[in-house]
Amino acid sequence: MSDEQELVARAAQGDADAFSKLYQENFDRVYRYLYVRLGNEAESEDITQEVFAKVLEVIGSFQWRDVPFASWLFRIAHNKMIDHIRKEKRVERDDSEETVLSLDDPDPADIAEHNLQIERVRHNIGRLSPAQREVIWLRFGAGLTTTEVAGALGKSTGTVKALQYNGIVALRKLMELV
Amino acid sequence: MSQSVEDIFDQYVDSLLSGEDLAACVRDESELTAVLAPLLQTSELVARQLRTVQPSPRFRMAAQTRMRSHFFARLARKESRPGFLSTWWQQRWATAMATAMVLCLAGLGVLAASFNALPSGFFYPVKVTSEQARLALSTSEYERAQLRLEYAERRLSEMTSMADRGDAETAVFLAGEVTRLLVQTATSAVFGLPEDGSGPTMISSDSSGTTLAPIAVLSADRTESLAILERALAVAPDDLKPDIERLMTELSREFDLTIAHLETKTAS
Repeated sequence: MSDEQELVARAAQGDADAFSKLYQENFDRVYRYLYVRLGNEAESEDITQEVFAKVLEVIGSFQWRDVPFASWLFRIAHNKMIDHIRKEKRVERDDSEETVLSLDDPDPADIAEHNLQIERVRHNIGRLSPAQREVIWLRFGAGLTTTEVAGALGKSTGTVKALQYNGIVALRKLMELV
Repeated sequence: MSQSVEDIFDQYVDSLLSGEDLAACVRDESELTAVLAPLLQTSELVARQLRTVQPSPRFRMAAQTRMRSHFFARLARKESRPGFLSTWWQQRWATAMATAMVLCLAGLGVLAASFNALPSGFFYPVKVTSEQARLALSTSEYERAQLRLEYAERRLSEMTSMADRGDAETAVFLAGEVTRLLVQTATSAVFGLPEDGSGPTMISSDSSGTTLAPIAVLSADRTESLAILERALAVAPDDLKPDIERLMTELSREFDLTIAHLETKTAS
């Protein structure tokens, strides 16, 4: 049994230390994934909490079938986000209504500039094909490995690598870096 | 078999995402690297921009506290209720049965035995169930506020005992329970404090995401809980003020003791 499998098994049995470790390891990247998808701080915060509440509820039923824990976790995050979008009867936006980020530097001009850069990246990722942008979000936003992304999306690692490569090629053109 | 360009690019992205700088990733001067270098520049820019998105410290603290309370409450529920009871009427029936069980156990002396039970103890679920039953059976907000203050006092005592046994994790959970109970009390109709100003906040990690030691977490909880009680004291009905003042004294003492226990365990 791998370290991660053991950690998940302990968390499923109610081991607070194990659950806390999984939570700490994944909290920021789940939030980041949701934020880059939604572009809204309050919504990302709400859904992040819903994701971990769901994980706590169903971790006992998690089964290893060659799918890494992160893949399972981000499927929950993805499904929660889709539920939220459906509930709100809205479509994913390419432009953000609210882009307040936590920054060390309190200078409003720096924050505005920073938010603008983030928005530009989000906007351009949003113009990729759905499969490409999902891979880019999970890989670069959440920091998942190719294997974890493949598990989360139910695709082969070869397909994920191809989507990643073509996505970055398209993104470079969109970002006018060529 | 030779690797495809997508495979090689993926390896470079792995290096990039693990923190290596771009120059180190593309140090050779092959034709393929020349093709991939601009793509890696884009990848680096995207990764760098997206990595700056972080949850605010305020949210991180509040979420951690809520999750901890959630986890502990779930653990207590799991230990006190069988899992196959899932339908509504079964749950209602279970609540009634739990209440009846508590009353029966009171007659048999089990309830008395559970009074000093700790989270690791056999009778702890009985203690938690009896507390829930008493809360459910209480008829006024005032009575519920009194009960929650009493339960907060119990959690404080349990927290010190668990720290004395070297169980820092449970001590931290119990500290979160104290904060949760105090917030519930302070925001009830009896005190009427706004939730925003008295919501549980907890430092479990610093802005870089590094997990802080239990002692740092407990110190933050101590400050937070005392602040809630101070605000509650200012608006408390006169007959509840002595209870709150006593709890403030106990809270300071129990947290100091807990921290001292953990410091001793850490040092040894």
